Amino acid sequence: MPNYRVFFACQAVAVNNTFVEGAQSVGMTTTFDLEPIFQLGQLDPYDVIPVTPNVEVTISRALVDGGTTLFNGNFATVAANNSTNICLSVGDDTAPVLKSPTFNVFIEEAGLTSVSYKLSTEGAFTEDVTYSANKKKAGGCQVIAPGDALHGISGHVKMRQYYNGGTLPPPLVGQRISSITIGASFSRENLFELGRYEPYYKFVNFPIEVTCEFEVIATDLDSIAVAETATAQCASPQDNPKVAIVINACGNSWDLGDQCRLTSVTYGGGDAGGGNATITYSYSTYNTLTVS
Amino acid sequence: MDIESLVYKIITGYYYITIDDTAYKVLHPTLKIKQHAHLLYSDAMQKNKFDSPNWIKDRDKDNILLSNQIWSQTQETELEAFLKKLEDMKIELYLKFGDPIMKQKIKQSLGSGKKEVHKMHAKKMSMDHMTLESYAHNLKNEQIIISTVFHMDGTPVFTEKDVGADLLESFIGAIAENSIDMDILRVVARSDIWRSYWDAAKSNIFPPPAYDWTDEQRLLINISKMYDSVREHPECPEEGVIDDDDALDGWILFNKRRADKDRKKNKVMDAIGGKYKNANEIFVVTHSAEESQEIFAMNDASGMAQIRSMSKAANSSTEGVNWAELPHVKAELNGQIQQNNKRRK
Repeated sequence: MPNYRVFFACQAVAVNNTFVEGAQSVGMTTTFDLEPIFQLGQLDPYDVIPVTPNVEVTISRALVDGGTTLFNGNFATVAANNSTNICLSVGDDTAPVLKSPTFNVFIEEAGLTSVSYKLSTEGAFTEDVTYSANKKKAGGCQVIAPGDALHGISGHVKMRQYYNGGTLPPPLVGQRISSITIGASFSRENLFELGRYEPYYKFVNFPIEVTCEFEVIATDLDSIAVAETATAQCASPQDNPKVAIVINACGNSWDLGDQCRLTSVTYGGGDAGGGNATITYSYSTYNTLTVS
Repeated sequence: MDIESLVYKIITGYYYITIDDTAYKVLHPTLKIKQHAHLLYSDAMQKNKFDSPNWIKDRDKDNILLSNQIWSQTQETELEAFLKKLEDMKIELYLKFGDPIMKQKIKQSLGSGKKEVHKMHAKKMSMDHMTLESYAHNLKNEQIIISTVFHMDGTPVFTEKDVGADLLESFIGAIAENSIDMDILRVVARSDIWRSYWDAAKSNIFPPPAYDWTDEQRLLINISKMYDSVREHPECPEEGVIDDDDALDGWILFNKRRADKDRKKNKVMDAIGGKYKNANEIFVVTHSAEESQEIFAMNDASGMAQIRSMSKAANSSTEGVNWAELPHVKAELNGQIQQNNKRRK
């Protein structure tokens, strides 16, 4: 399909029939792949087989005080879940709160394919999640914004003061952290069986890498020493120890387990224009992310 | 219309008028004359600021117009809508310029629309002559005329001590008749005689500094530059469009609206980040009805048609309609198949 774009405004989104608070934007990409089957003796295709369509939905939202995250639980349970229903509604563009949607899009049996959290000193804490599905309908669902018809509901979005520590790797202890980014991306593959057009399951390709980046304002040069240390035969080098990472944000928490390893340290900024020098510590682990 | 005489009048900066069989020379006011006249304007405004019984103030003018049912907020809204409609018609004229029947129809509608707008403006401004601003403005204009009208031998017609009111009235009328409006200036700018000067020297036709140029000289330079920009544009319209003021306005408005739309689209895409760069449908949360309308307006004609057809299809069934069954998706898929076939042939 060509990449034309349709912009909708005044929208509400619900995941599993629950209104998503703090939603900022939603992007949808639908792909229909066609496979023509030709036969000898004619130029035109004998038949055109539509390959299972794929819908990708990305929801971007601000984390709200007292609210849960869209990715909730541990990796194994979320990855195994292929039955998320997403409903998007568009209504009268002059109504203060969406109470009578005029157009809805319903995505059924979606599975999560990527998740990203950004806790930054700039703006609200955000959650970006992407789902993949094979079923998408115009209509068939409806999202009604909660609260009264004039003012909807109001709450507080989480900002920098909502970060309340956690278990941090040793280089981060006592540092001035300016942003934390947690991300995981995993592909899903269709499993088919004879006698059925649509896939009966979309499995996740393990292992899944989970990354976590900490950006700190540099008060010194980074203290990570790298050396080709002499390691005894039949022994493992201990330069890069496993560390535990848990991040808390007043009600939300991200637990990456205790098998995280430092993958890079970047010292940058501090230019002649007066910018602050920053150090970015990147950690990664596999198959472990519990969000609550 | 005597274009040649208009060109000479603008280039020389003076012209001749005849009142009661006597010829006079009228100069275009210099900056100094305008400055002096403006002092009179400011002085009149200052002196009469608290002399409310003699003058209607702007806010009182609105109340009088409203209480006499001459002009109201509803009519103001109507006027704005009418002006927007006129712009839309100009764009339509540009887009349908190749179709003689449509062109004629749109021209007729534009003509009657302009007359209607003129009538509405006349109503809206029917009390303007009773305001202090109007009085001060008249004083300024009279001073300009007093300073710029000469006998053929070069002596001034009016002196500070001798300003004949009747003669001044005659000059006001005659000078108003000789003023060149924007439509005529555009005709002059397109004329061969002016273009021969323009192509030879561009804005060097008039000696610097630019603040010494007359209003007409300055406007003519600006209009000529506009025509140059249009001709240099990568999507320059055909010569017929350039020669038709309404169609050219339509072309300018069309490009301006397209650029505005692109700018807004880019702003939205920047605001929501690059994560939707491949998305077919983008849903953006808005905080006001105006913002919401702006988001919808970012869609082009096919996007709007898709929204309508999707809504119609979705509302036709409580169960919903599969995405592949939507008319625009079907059309896209058929197009894709045909494209594949063409490539094979």
